[in-house]
Amino acid sequence: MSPKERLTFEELSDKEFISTLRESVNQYNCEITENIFADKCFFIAHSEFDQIFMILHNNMNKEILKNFSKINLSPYSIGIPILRQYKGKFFPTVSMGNLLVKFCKNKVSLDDPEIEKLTYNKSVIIDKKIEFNYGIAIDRNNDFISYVKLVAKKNRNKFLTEVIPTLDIGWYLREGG
Amino acid sequence: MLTIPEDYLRRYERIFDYSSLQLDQSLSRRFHVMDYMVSRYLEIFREKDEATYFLESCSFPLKKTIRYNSLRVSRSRFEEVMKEKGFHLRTIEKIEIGYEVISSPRKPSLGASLEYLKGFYHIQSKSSMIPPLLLSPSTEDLILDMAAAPGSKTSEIAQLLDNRGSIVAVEKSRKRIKSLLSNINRLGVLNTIIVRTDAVNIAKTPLRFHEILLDAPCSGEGIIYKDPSRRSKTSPSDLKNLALNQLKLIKAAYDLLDDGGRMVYSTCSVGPEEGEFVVNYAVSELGMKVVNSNKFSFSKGITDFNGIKFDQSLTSCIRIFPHLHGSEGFFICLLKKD
Repeated sequence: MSPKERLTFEELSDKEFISTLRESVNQYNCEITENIFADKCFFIAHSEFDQIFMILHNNMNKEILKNFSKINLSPYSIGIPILRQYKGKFFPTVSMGNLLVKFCKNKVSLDDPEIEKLTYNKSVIIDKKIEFNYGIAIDRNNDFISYVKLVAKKNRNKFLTEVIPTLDIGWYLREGG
Repeated sequence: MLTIPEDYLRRYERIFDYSSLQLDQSLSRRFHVMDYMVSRYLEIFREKDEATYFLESCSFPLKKTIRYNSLRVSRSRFEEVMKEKGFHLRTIEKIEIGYEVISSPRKPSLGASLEYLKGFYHIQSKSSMIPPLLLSPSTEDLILDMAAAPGSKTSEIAQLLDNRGSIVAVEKSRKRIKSLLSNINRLGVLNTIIVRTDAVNIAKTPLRFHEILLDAPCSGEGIIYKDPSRRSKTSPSDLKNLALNQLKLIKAAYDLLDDGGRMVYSTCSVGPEEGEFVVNYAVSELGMKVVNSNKFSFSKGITDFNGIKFDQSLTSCIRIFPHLHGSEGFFICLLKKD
């Protein structure tokens, strides 16, 4: 988000959020149920591109936002951005990765040297055949590393897979500020 | 009627006139700092030897410290994984969430490790960890962080609250707010609303807060080792402008605080013009009370500087010096609105 942009926020119902989330992460084979997000609330921020923010439910939040609007003050964020729109479709952000690893099945576990490359936004080739095209790269502790695209390769008789990062945690260093 | 910051500053303007203070050009030449700075250090420390130790300490990097982030990882796993990666850590006395980095591997650097990216820890000076600990926020409370970027203290408050309560983090700077949001994201903070504005504007709403952290924008005189330009950058007139802004912010914080609410005022500066002078305004003109806390043992606030006497209760404020406490120069004070 550019700091120059002024966002206008609108609260999303749990139902609307769950439906948007399911659609945005279906390529990762996730089991999204409403109870995962029972203690959280969601806001959609309208700008050049829409974003969905998540914050823990607290009665004070509404009071804060109501008072801000009285002086025409718009928040910069309400909690953290978890879905971001690109070309009309929502995609999960890096922060969302920490939650998705718990509920999605398309995961690729990688070793430290491969993980290091991914966090520099570089792809790696692994000596393994993977059945899905999009997944979540994790480390041996099941921690989120990157959303990845997987491309099957063959070298002589060996099945290989190219793991291409689409959004990795190195983003915090490269873009985070 | 309450005294406005401009009037208070006018009344005590002589605090920025250093002509009657002792000069020691041998020190200013040796440490490449402006003459008026040395005069102030001699006034603060009262002894040339100590002023010299302080100036010497401004030339060397301090031991790196980090704050482990319980919002992302358990303490035992954090310690285990850092050890595995070759970081030798030692807990900081009286700061359970803080660790001193005794030694690091050649690679990765502390600010680029996988654990850093995962939000397991935040690089933060020992001094900077103190204000939220002193504020000691409660999970039921509405908390305001008035100059929040880059989010070290905001995220520490969220950690102390285990993501409960509610934090409003205000940052005026377009440039700095990006780092605030990035750190909030990385560290898993889920109880914070960020707003880009001058904190003074929030006082125009009926919102009132139970606790406020005002880590005011300052000269950075406590972190000369990080920013050597400070040796010759800030003139007495710049210092006066900074103090005026700090006075305005503490007045806004007073207005925004609930009756009985608590506020921590802090700066990464050792200058009494940005510390005691500002808190003295809150005490003598706004009627706030300094809260005596025995949580930490650093140096006491001073009550006499450049011919101006501050309220005696300011001895309960905290001064942190690099040469005495091995951490960044800071001024920290816990106040209560009666």
